Amino acid sequence: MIKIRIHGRGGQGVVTAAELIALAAFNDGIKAFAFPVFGVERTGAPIQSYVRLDKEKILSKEQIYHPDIIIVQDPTLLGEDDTLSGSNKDTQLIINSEKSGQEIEKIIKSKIKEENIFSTPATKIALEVIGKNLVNTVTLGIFARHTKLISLASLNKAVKEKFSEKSQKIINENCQAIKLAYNYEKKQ
Amino acid sequence: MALEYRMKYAQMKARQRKKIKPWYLKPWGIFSLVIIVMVISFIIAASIYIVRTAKEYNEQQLVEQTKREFVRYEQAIEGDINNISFGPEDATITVVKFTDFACPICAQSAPIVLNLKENYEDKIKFIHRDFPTQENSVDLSSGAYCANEQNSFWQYYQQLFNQQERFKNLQDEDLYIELSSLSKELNLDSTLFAECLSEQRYISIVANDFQDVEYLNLKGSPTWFVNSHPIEGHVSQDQFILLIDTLIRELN
Repeated sequence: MIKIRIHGRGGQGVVTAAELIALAAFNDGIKAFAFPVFGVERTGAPIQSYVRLDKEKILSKEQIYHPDIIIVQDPTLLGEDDTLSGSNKDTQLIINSEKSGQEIEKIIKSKIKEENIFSTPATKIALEVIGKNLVNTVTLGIFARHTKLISLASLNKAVKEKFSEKSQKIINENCQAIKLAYNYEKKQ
Repeated sequence: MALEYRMKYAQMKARQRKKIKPWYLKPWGIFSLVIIVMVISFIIAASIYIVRTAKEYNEQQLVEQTKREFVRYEQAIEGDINNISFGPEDATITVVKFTDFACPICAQSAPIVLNLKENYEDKIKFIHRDFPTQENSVDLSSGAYCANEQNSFWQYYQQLFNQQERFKNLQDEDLYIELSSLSKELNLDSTLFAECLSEQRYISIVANDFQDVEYLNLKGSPTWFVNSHPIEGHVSQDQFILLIDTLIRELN
């Protein structure tokens, strides 16, 4: 079973990100279970959501304390105690950041190995493509690329399903942002 | 006979001992010693010189690196020419506020900024920076920058915070319509305003601000910087004004 924990702030689509992973995984024939946990319920407050992926039926419903993958949507959360709790050197960290994996490894005092840190400036991509600091779909593009747990096609399909009530423009922008993030090569 | 022989032998030995000096007492030995001492001295002196030079170089590099980091830190706080500001360029006190138009705590502290604008504009420099954390934060900031095209940034700023609830759950087109309505209420040219908004002309300012938010490792909005010293969260107006008055008294 793969355990994924997503960190972000209220209003940044943390819950939607978990649902999109679950939907995309389901499209790929994988069993998935996603749910959020709210702290203080206000916009801007740190929020976590969880996803479990497995080939078998998922019975476990509790919070994820030892994730295999951590997705950090807001780089300012990296300093929070909860963000890396339960991680080890082999946990994969997918983070929205302008900083390099090496710099992040230094900041987090090598709690996770540099080779397992995948940083992409999702805010920059989101602002360029969507025009908002809405990074949830962008980080999923990075997630799909580095983990190979869900395919790009399934992710796009999940976005279309989830945002079916939104305008075509919003769907297209999100799909474009995902594609950009998926193919993003960091300039050294 | 034996005694005579022994004496001769002893004399011969004494003569030989005189002849066989240790190597370091012989001229070539002394010369070699001098050379060896000179070489060793040279190696020691060179080593000391190399170590000292390397140390000085490292210290110099460290100073240069610290200077560069300090300049980058200052730039990250104060932003660039595109950021909205008021007050004299050479003011001894610079106040920077990283704020989010969608954040309620930022709205609580907005009157402090307007107070500074009204009463301290000739004494301090104030710089507005964006810290967009919500889905509609960037559009709200864009609205303020578009109002700035018509010299109404601060009026728009005030109304965005005063009427935060009005924009709270609005997105995209609904938000654009409401932001344009506000521009009309403030007697701005709403057509020009709407054009500016839909073109997302000022998104790069917000993007740069957010980059600096990450560089400075800010934890939440609002975050103030008073002469580069950070103050996080809400501060009461009385406390903040007291701080500014004290600094003006002490620094001027």
